[in-house]
Amino acid sequence: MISDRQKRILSFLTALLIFGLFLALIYFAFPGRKDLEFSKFLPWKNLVIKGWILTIVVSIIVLISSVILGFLLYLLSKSKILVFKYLADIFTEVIFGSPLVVFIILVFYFIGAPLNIDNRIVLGVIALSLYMAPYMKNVFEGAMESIDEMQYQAMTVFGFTNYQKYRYIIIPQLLKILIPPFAGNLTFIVKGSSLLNFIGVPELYNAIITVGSTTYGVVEGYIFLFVMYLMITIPLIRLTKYFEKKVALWN
Amino acid sequence: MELKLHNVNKSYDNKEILIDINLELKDEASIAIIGPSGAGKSTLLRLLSLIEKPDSGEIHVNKYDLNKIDPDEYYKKIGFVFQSHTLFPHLTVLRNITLILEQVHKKTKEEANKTALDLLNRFDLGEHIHKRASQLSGGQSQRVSIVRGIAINPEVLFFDEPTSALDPVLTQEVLSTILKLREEHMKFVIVTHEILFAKKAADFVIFMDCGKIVEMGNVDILENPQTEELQKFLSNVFLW
Repeated sequence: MISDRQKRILSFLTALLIFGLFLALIYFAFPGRKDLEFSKFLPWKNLVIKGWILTIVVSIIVLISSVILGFLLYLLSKSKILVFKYLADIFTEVIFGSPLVVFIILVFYFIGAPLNIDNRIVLGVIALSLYMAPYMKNVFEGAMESIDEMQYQAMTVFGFTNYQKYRYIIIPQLLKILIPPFAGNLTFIVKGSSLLNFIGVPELYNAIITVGSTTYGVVEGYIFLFVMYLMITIPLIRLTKYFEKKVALWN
Repeated sequence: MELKLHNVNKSYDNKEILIDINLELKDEASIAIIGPSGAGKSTLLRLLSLIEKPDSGEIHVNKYDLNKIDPDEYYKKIGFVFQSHTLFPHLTVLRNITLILEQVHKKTKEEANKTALDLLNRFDLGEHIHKRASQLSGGQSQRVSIVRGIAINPEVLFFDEPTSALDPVLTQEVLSTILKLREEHMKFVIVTHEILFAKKAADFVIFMDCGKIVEMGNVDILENPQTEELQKFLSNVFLW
């Protein structure tokens, strides 16, 4: 008899095998496969790795700044001053309605030039952070609602001070609720950061496309891109699921 | 316990919930507040526990004048059990209790753990101490709430319809816990729908309707109601 665990592992490996066969099929059906030569990238590996690291660094910075911006946006949207609330609402809807690539280019021209920012990485971070802020705002909204009103009353009648309420009850719960969607949004940011190529940020996409076109290895480049993005995003997705499971346990 | 209310009024959004409540009780160990929904029972309990303040009037509980006392001082003297779901979901059963003892009542970790473990064992919750609220049944989680309420050794324990969210079986489980407290001479005020339980557990009964105290007295009034309203209320209850 095989255990449940073994059965799951076996099924998972089978699924991987099916995908593997499918990829092999595609590969052998690809007419240009004889010309594929991945070793062309070897002399450029430093540039590619630098781009890969830049993608990770930019994504982490954007995560942090968009969480901060998202929180400010959340506060604005909850403001009793209606003008503030509408400012937040309008910004949110405009962002939700805009393609990321269009937004990045507009930020490049209309924020970069007037403010005299010519560092493309900085501009890229600004654009992505602004774009992600409303998504983060939504995360905060969901998290705040998840703490039951009765809990606040309980904290009061048990005699907690404000500091104790936040330190022991509210923030620990918020952190646990917030971390899974933050991790999920980080995946979104990593993928979105490839569009910073359009304003010349030398991140992973930009690096590989540059190398690919100099070495006539465009197709190989896209295969590298596919794999290298997955190397970041799959662990992130697994991590998100892990956190979600943990949170579900006590909800 | 001693309760003294003088001309207490409370309204929300211009709707009068409590109208001129007057009351003077001495040496009652357990008080049940009964009455139809919307009678103002829970509001009265929230005023007695200083979760909210009256719009006008005076309230004394034991020696405390609730208009004058610092709420945080008063909260240290009382316990409160809500209708449901107020165990903090990110903490274990044990930590739900020790956190309050350590942070609010300044007990050491060892003292807090000892107090909490003793109580949890005494109320047959010993096997659940490391679980979280989501892993408990509704009845268990209300019993933990009760233990949390008495852990601070309060002068009075307030219950706000502690069984209204539970099915009949779990209700029994929670009500027996409260009866056990009565045997141990815990003083409490309970808002409840369970008339039979009120008969068993309360010394004194307050019947409210439409924001007023309509009838009150020794628990016997449930057998011999004097007012038409209470008679009607009881006959409706027992129809079921």
